[in-house]
Amino acid sequence: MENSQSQTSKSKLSRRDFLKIGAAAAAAGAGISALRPAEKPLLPQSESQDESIVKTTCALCSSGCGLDVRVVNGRAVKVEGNPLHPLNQGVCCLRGQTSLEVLYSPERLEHPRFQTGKRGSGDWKEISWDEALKLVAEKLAELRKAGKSHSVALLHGELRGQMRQVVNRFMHAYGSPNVISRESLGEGAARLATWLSQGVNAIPVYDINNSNYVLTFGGNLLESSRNLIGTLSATAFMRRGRPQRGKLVAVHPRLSLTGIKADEWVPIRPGTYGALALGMANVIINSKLYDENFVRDFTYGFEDFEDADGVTHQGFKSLVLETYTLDRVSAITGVSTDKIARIAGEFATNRPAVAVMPTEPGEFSNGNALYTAMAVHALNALVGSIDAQGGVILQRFPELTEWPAYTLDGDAQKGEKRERLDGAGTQFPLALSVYQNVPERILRGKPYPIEALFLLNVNPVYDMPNGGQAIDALNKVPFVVSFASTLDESAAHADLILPASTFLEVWGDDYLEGTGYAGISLRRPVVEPVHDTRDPGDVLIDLAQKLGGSLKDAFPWISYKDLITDRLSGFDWEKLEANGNWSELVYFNAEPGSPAWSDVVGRDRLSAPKDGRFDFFSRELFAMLGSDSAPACLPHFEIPAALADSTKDSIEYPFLLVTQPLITQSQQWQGIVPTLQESYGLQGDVKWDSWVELSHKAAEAMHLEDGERVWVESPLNRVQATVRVYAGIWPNAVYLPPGQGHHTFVRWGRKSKENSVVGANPNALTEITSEPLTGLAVSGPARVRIYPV
Amino acid sequence: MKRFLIFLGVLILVTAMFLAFLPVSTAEALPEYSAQTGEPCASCHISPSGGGPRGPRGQAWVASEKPGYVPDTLEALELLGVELTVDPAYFTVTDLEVQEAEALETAPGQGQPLYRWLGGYDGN
Repeated sequence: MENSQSQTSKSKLSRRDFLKIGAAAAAAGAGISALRPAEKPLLPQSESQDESIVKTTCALCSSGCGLDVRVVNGRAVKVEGNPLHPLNQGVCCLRGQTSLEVLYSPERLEHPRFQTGKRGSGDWKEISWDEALKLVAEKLAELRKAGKSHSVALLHGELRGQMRQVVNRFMHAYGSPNVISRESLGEGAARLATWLSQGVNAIPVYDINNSNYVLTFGGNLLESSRNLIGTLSATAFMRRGRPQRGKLVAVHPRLSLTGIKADEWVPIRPGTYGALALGMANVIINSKLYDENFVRDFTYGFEDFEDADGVTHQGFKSLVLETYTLDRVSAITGVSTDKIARIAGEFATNRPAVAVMPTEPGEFSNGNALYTAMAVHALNALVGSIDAQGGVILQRFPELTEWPAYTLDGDAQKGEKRERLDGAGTQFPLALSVYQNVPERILRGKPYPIEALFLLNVNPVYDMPNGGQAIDALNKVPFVVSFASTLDESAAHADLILPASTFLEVWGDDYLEGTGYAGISLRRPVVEPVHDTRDPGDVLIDLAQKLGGSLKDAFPWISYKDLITDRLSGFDWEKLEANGNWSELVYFNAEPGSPAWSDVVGRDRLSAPKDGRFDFFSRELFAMLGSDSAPACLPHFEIPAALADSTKDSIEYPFLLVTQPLITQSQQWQGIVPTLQESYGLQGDVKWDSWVELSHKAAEAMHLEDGERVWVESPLNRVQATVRVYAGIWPNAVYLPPGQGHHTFVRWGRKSKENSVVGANPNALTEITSEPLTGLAVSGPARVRIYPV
Repeated sequence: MKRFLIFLGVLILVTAMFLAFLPVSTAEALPEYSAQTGEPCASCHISPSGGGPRGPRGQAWVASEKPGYVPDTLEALELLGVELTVDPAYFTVTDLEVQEAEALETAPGQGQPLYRWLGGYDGN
């Protein structure tokens, strides 16, 4: 009772308490009110403050998202996604957020520079643009006059919008066949497979929004795919934003963020994706789960068939039924027969389903890149997902103003017909470019000595060191020019650096890629150039004017901006600037047999008939390789040499090295951006360093513990990394992240000093060679061993 | 202690009342629109999860004063006065004629290597 009274009396609010509470509540309310958007600024704005939002297009990866950059008094201060851009719809990824770190990076080269000492000595002299361009123009004119225009080569990485054709046009008009793309390391396999089977020269686009089953073979769909933000958004919608939830399945030896976010991760022995795809085809065909009408009416080479001479050839069906039985495929891939059968059944019965080929470097590069990609793409045809809603669709492009015609002068005609430096078309009959073959050919002087080499958005010394071969090759070329923005490993071995401006300082464009429908995204200067740098497009136009002849005719513009405005003159320029892009927003799927079907199947065929049929048996390959080539025209699997477990190498180097790109890796600014270094190993919480993932079993057997420093050694080289014991890795595989290990330009960061190395470059462990037919890179899986430092 | 808890409780209550009366901005993507039309958010919005800029169907729906259904793509484009660069009929089959597969033949060299043939494509 006493207690009760006491409680009652205590629960009464005294006048003083009431006033206290009232005052506190009023103060809280006032505080919250202050959080509301103020109608008037609390502080008067300076009258001189000039503030604007400039719309442009990101260039930090291959997606090309729209950005809104806030500029105050001529300085860019904040980057956000452009809500009016169809690819990213207002989202800006971690990389995009670091644009300003790139723009204002102290690592940037501020002026053109000439290496006065020995290559790689670091004895640089800064020179003016006039002097630099004079040097290049004189060298190019001299070689042209001597009939050696073919001895000039240009290696390039990702080129956006009109820049690809600008580079091709420049070299063609100059008289050199040697425009060599880095594509052979990555997306080349997907492109070639699509052309050889579907007959279109394109990197496929996947309609994930409308798909019910997405199966990714390799790659890292949700971290490093092309059109990354669009893919993330579509995947989220597929799984959570619509009434019928789709399923995402990730096949990879390592559990990446994609695998973690997927509905299912299928661990697989490195380098065996092709076998799994063919094993799945076996189940689908055997169970008659394929789209019989589509396969009968719109494909070629499914059943055994006779050629024009009456010779019988094996078709896809009997090949996979006879050769890729579940037991055999399970033994090759390490995936259980039950799982293969289940995944195949799910894929075929949850249509629309789509099988995704990766475009990231190294993902298919096991010596089977082409046939692996063809095998994966064959699954799409089996379930009728070619240009179907929820399947593989075809990226369409807007019609722009025609390029002006020009005539090749005599010098250009002679040079342009010469054999390519990389062996595309000769040593490698099917190749479009063979980037990784360039150093060897330069060193051998084949097919002729190279007199001048341009490097544009590439870093061969880092990409394919091959035990120092790339450096030796650069040093052998008498005149090397780099367009690098920082002193990367290859630029360090150049004679001359013509520093490129960043994408926030230049005019340009991107073709919208990833949605299927046509579109264009505008890139425009957000700020004045921070340093004395220029856009490589402007530099090439300047050089063309200086060199004259067919080059001058091919480039009638005064600047790259002039070229862009000319090519995009069919668009409403004001709207383009206001929105940052233009697109059709609507994709029409071509029904099989419709007039549009001839655009999506067979359009770009060279020798094979354009009869609207998807080739399981590639008639293009048969036409080019001859009648004895039939087995090579079907997707098939050859066990990579590195997977043989009984060789001397396999005993001395028991682990298979896998790499997989990360969202924190910036392709052209690798290792340089502090925010990306700070968040580098999101999964393993590793910053400013590389880590090596080992399975529990392997770590236990070698008495290694999490956090221990180890050497990772291949027959070629060794690098250091920190051990991360990880359940999500194939038992005899180890994972090293790509993008670290730069040794010339990382000094901006709390754990690095000038010329020190941050992390390890996995490329240093890998011998990179080429597939004989296609020239696609063969880089793994490399064999390595691990031991404590 | 109890006194303090009561004090805290009343404080939270009063603060919550303050918040309740704060002006709330009107969301542009409303689930009831989805219920009203029977369409997912993605039918109208570019972002599949709804909100933000609208695609052609969403724009046409708003322009036609939010009827009980969302116009289909072609109707929407017509309502918006968009001139398509393609004819939708081009993508559809009216009378299916399956082409016979041609017999397999080898072709002598085409005179130019693939990098020349396929090098000049559009795209990044």
